[in-house]
Amino acid sequence: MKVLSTKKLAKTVKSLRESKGLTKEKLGNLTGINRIMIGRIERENFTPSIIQFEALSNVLGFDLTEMFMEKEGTNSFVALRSETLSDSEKEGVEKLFTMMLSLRQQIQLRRSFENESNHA
Amino acid sequence: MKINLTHPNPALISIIENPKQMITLDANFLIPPDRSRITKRSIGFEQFKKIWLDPIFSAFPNLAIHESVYDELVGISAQKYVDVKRNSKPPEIIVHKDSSLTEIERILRDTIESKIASLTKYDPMIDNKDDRGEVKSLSFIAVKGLLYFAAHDNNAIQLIEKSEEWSTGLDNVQAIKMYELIYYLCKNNLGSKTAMKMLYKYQYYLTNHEKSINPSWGDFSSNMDSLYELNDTTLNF
Repeated sequence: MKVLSTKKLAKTVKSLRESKGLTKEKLGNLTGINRIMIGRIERENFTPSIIQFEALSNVLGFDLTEMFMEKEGTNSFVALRSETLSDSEKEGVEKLFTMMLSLRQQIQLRRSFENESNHA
Repeated sequence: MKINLTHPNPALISIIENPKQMITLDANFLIPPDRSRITKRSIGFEQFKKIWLDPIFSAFPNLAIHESVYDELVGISAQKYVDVKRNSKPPEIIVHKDSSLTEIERILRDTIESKIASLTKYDPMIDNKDDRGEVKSLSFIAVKGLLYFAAHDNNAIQLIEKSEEWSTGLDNVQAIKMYELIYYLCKNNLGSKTAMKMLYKYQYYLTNHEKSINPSWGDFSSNMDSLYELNDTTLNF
């Protein structure tokens, strides 16, 4: 599966902006993107909408498709799904998914909250 | 769900100033709430339609849902209601479809989906039902640069409001909560005040815990007035 590489985008935007002698504010004016967001793009911390992405590409002159990378799509949960399962087994597997995904969500949310308090 | 009356919501101010902007709805805006575990009182679809759906559709001419939310309505009364609105001329609601995305938009959508899915009970590889509607809706509107997502789900709202801290990729999206639209309908006489009060109490002021963290209807109403009073002249309140 292809996804946007925020690292590639950050590097590209920063180097092209600097090579064109543009401040973040000037690039912001040219693209309609707030300068703070330009800063966050350069810190790999902002995913642009399609309009913003195209505006950056037009102003700075880079190919959108070069900002993508392949992401491995392996998922251990999928292996649990089998066409040979009976209906009751499938129901059990779905319940198991729900429990495992709820647990994953709780762990991720806790990490996010902890990161937030550490940075506060 | 906790009501936040500390700051005015810029999204609500913007919607008040121009109600014709597109608002994408989560499924819980279309399905009658069910709190039968807590109270004997229930809200049937016909009542929900009268007190909530009809006023919402009359107040906002550009409503939308994502196809995954439409899928959640299959087999229930809300689907027929949405179908009528969808097929009216002009349509009173549109359905966002992932198939309408270009290749580049699809990759951006996948990027955002993978960022937010791990903070929900949805997994794109499994494509399970839990939280599917909110994840698909949010990913779609973020890519398209659509601004407003209306939801009555704490997790969905946090994914938007904590977008920077949690790097969810939803920085362009703004959340509108059910209580904000209850207030909007009430102040603009677009819904029955008694019905709005009942809906508020049903959704936010039912359990002892809710009564300890949320304001009563009277306090809620006056606090919202104070929060948004500066805008009264532009709001026609």
